[in-house]
Amino acid sequence: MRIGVFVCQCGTNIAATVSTERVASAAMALRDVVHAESIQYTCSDPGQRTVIAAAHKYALDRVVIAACSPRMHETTFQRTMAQAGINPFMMEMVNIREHCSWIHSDMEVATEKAIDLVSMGVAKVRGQTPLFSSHVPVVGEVLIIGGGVAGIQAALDIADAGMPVTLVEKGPTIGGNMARLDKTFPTLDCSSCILTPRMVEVKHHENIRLMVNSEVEQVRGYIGNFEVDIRKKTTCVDEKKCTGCQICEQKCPSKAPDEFNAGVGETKAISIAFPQAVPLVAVLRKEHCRLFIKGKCGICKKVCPADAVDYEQEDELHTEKFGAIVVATGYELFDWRQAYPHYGGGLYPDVITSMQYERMLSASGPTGGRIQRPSDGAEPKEIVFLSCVGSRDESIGRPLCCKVGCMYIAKQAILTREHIPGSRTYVFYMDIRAGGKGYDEFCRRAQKEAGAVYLRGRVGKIYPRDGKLVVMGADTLVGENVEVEADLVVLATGIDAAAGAGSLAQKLNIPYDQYGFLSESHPKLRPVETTTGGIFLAGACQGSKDIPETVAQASAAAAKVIVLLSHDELETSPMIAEVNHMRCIGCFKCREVCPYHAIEEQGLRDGRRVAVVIESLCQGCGLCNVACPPSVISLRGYTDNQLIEEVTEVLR
Amino acid sequence: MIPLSETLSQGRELVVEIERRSGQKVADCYQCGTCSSTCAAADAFDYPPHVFMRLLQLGVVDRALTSTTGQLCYDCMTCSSRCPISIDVADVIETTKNIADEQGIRESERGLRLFRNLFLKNVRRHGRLHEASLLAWFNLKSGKLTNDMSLVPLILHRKKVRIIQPRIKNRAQVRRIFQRAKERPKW
Amino acid sequence: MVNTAYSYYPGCSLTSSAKEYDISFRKVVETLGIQLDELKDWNCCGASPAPHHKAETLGVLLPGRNLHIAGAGHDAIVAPCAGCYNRLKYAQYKLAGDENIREQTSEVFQAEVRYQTEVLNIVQMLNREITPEALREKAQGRLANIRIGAYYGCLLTRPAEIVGFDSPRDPRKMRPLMEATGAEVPHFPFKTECCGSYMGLARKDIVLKASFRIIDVAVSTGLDALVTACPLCHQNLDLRQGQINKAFGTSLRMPVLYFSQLIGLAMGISPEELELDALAVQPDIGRWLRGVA
Repeated sequence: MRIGVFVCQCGTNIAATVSTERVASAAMALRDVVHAESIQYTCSDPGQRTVIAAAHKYALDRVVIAACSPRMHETTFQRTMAQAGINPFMMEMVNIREHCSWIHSDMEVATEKAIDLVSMGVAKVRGQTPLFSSHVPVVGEVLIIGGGVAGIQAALDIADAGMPVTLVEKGPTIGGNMARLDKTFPTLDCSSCILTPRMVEVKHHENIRLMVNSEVEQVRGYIGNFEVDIRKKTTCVDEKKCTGCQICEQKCPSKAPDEFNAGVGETKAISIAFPQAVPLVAVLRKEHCRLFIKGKCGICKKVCPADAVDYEQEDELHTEKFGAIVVATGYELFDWRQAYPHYGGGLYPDVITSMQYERMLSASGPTGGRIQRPSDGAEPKEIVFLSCVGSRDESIGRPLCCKVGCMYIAKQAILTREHIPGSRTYVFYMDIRAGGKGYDEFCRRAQKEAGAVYLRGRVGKIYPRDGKLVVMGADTLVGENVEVEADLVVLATGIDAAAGAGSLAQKLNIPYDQYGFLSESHPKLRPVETTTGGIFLAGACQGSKDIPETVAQASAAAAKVIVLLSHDELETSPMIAEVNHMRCIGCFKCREVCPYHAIEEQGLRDGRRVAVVIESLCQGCGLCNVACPPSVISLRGYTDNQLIEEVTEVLR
Repeated sequence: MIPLSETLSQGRELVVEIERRSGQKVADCYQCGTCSSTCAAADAFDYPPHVFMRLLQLGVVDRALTSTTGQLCYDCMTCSSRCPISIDVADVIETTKNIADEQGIRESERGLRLFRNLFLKNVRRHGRLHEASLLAWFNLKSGKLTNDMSLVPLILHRKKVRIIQPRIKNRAQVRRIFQRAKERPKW
Repeated sequence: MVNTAYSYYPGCSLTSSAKEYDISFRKVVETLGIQLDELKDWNCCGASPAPHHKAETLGVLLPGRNLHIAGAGHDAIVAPCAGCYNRLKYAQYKLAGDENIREQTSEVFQAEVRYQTEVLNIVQMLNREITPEALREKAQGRLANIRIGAYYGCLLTRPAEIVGFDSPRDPRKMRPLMEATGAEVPHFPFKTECCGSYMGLARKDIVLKASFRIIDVAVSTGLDALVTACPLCHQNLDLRQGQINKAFGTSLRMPVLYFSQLIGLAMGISPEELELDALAVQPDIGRWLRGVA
C-alpha cells in the first residue's frame, strides 16, 4: 500500500490557523504513507498537477487530500485521480477547513486537530477498494410546473432542443402574473403584446404538451427517473370542443369573484380569465355555480353552440415519467389587510393594491383602462403610492425587500400621468432600488417627466374624511410630517411565493423559506439547481425578481435540463449499499426502509431468499445499512470496517 | 455642520448608556419616519422622533439632551407601537431625558417642570392630588393667571370640582416613599 | 358573577373632575349586584409625573403601595381610570419580574410586598360581570338609534407587554359590549391616537391640536358620540371642546361618554343617575332614547 497525503493551505483559509507543514510531516510518520506535502491551492491547475506528478513519482495507489469540504471539491479531486491513472474512489477527502481552520482560532489546537483528522482519513483510506460507477437510463421527458413567463420560457427552450415537455399549470390559462400586467418597466412594453406570442407558441409547439387546471399530486423517484401523479381537474368544459366564444359567460347568472383581476369587479361562475387566454377555453367553477350549489340552472349548457359543457366531467389522474423537473410556480402578493389596520385594514374601498391598480390601468381590464375610485367611480386627481407595505417591516416578521416595488411604482406613476393628465401622484418611499439597465433613469423619469412627488418617509396612518383619504406621513428629508388628501391610495404590497409552494416543495423534497420561496442549492453559484438532483428552479418561485431576470433564469434552468438529458444514461455513484448474501437472514427490513425501492428479493441456490440491491436505483443513503439487524449490509466507500478503523485511530 | 469624526467617538459612551438602559438598539433605526408621522406632539418638538433618533445615531448627544423632544414627550407610545423595526422609540426618548435630568441640564419647558413639581408636591404632602389646587398654584406660579379660566364656570356648573384637598391617613408612608425615591432613585 | 367583591381604585380624577365616571360606574356595578370595596386609604398612583421622574423607584413605589393594600384582602382590583390601570399594571410587572425591586419595595413598606392581585380595567371587569350576550338581552336594542365610536386612547393598550390587554395597533375589546347596547359601532380610524395627555396646563397647544383631530374625525365619521375609559382623554375631548373650537375656528360638536355611562344607559339606568348632565358637551338624550320603552 502506498498512500500519498496532500495538505492544502487554501491560501490563508487553512494556513492562517493550521500549520499545514506540520500536518504533512506528521502524516509522513504514519504507516503506509510514502509521501506527504503541503500545497497552496490544491484545486487549482498547478495544485492538481502537483498531485498527479507526485502520484506518478511515488507510485501512489491511494490518496488523502486534506482540504475544504468534499461538497466543494470531491468531484474535482476524483477527476484528478482519474487523470493520474488511479481509481477515483481511492481518494479520501479530509475536511480541515469548515471542520477545523474556519471554526478555531488557536493555531496549536487547530493543527493538532488537523493532524488527528488526517490520520483518521489515512486509516479509512487503507480499507478502501476500487469502485466503479454504473449507469442508469434517463427518461428523456421534462416536467415544468407553472405556466407563467418562467415556465413558458423554459418550456420553449427545452422543446426547441427537441425534448418533449409537459407544462402543468394550476390555473385555467398560462401567462401567470405577467399576463395581468399592463406595461412593463423600464421600456413600457405592453406586457400582453410581448407575452402572448410566446403563449401561442407554447400551445402549438409539437414538443409541448400543455395541461391546464392541473396540479402535481405526488412525485416519486429520483434524477433521470421521476414518476409524477398529475391531477387534471374537471372544469365541466370539453377543451377539444370549446371555441372560446364566451356566450356561456355572457348568459351565466351566477356571479363569482374575479381572481385574474385581483378582485376588481366580478366575473361569472363560467368564464374565460382574459381575452388572450391560452388555451381559450371556458372554465366552470363549481363553488360559485348555481347549478351545483342550488341544483337549478344549466343555462351555459343550453346556450353553448359547440355543446362543450359537460356537468358529468370528472378529474383525470395521470401518472407520467420524467427525467427532469423545473419548478416555475411564480409569486403572489402578500395580503396586507391584517397587518396594517392603520391603513384601514381593507375597510376603505379607495385603498387598493398595486395589482388592482394595474388591472385598472389595463385597457382589457375590468374598467376598460379607466382609472377610477372603487367607492364612487370618479376619476381620481390626487393619487398616493406607498412603498414597502409588508416589506422591510420586522414588526410583522417581514424584513425582506420585494425588489420590484420601486420600479413598478415608478411605472404606475408614469402611466397615471398618461391616463389622467391633470393628476398628481405622490410616492412615499424609504429607498429607491433601481439597479437594472435603465432602471434608475426610469425612476428619475417618473419624477422629472411625470411630475411624481417623491417623499422620503413612511406613512403612519390613512383615514377617510369627507370622501377623501387623508394620508399622514413623514418627509424625513425636510424633517417634518406631511399630509396628503388623496382620492386614491395604492399600496405596493410585499411579494410571497405562490400559494401552495410550500406543500409542493415538500412533495419534491426541496427546502423553502418562511415566505414559501424555494431554496437554490447555492446562493451564488447554483441559482437554478436545488439540493435534489434533477429538480430545477426558475423565476419568482425562488425569490422575487423582475421579468428580465426571470427569463434569464428560465433559460438557465432549461440549459441545465438539456445538459442532464443530453445523455441517454446517467452515471450513478458507486457508493451504494451492498448485501453480504452469505449472512443475510432474509428478514427484508432493508426493503421496508428503502426510500428508493432499490432492494429486491432473490433466491439463492441453497434455497435461501436474500436481499439484493438494485444498483441503478440505490442512492447510497445508508438506511438499510442501519436497519439491518445482523449488520450484513455495508456502504461501499463507507464500510463498517473503514469506519471502525477511523474511530480506532482517533481513540489511539 | 456636524463633525462626524468627533461626534461619533465622543457621543458613543452616552449612546451606549442609553441603549443599555432602554434596552433598545439605536443603530437599528432606518429613519423611515413612521414614528413621527402620527406623533401627536411632533409639531411641538424641536426634533421629531425620527430626527431625535438620527441625532443619537450620529453621536450628536448634546442636542438630544437639551431638546424639547425629551421634555415634551409624554410616552403615549404611539410611535413604539407602529415602528416597523419594533424599536421602543418612546423609551429611548425618555431614557435620554432621564439622563439629562441626572446631568442637571436645565429644562427649557418651564411650564411642564412646574406642573410636574406641583403635582408631586401635592401628592407627597397629602397622598392624593387635589386638581383645583394644582390649577390654582400652576396659574399663580407660571404667571398665567387666567389660564383655563374659561373652564371654571363649566366645572362649577357641572359640579365637577372637589373643593377640599383630599388627604389620606397614612401620609407618613407616602412621605417615606418620596424620601426613599430621593435617596435611592435607581433600583 | 365571577367575583363576589372587587377592590375598587378610583384614582384622583374620579373623585373630582371625573366624578361622573365614578358615580356612573358605581351605579352600574350596584345594578349588577356586585360589591365594590373602595381600596382603603389608597394613594395617588402618580400617573402623570411619576413615570418621567428621574427617580425610577417612585414609578413603582407609588402605585405599588396600592397593590400592597389590595393584596391583603382581594383577588381582583378594578381601576376604571386607564392611567391608574396602566400604572398599577406597570408596578405589578416590575415587582413580579425583579427580585431586587421586590426586596427594596418590601423594605419601604416594612412588610413582604403583596403585588399579585389581579388588576382589571373597566372593560375587562364589565365583560366578566355582564357578558355581551347578557347585556344584549337586557338592553333590548335600547341604543339602536345611535352611532358611537370606541376611543381607546393610549394607556389602555400600551405598552403591550406590560398591559397585555388588547392589540395596540388594532384594539377591539370594547366593541362586543358596545354593540350589545344595540348601537351601531362604526370603525373609528382615530381610536388609538393620543389626545395630548396631561399637557393641558403646561402646553395646551399640544392637547388642543391632538384632541382636535380626534373630534374632527369623529364628526366626519358621522358619530353621535365617542366613548372613552380614561378621565384625562375625557377631559381633553369633552371639557376642552370649547377651547378646541376656539383655537381652530370650528364649531364641532361631539359628545364624549364614559364607558360606564354607555353601559348604564343600555341597562336602563336613567341619564340623571349616570350623571350625564355633568358632561360639558351634552348628548341629545331625547333623540337617543326616542321610541324606547
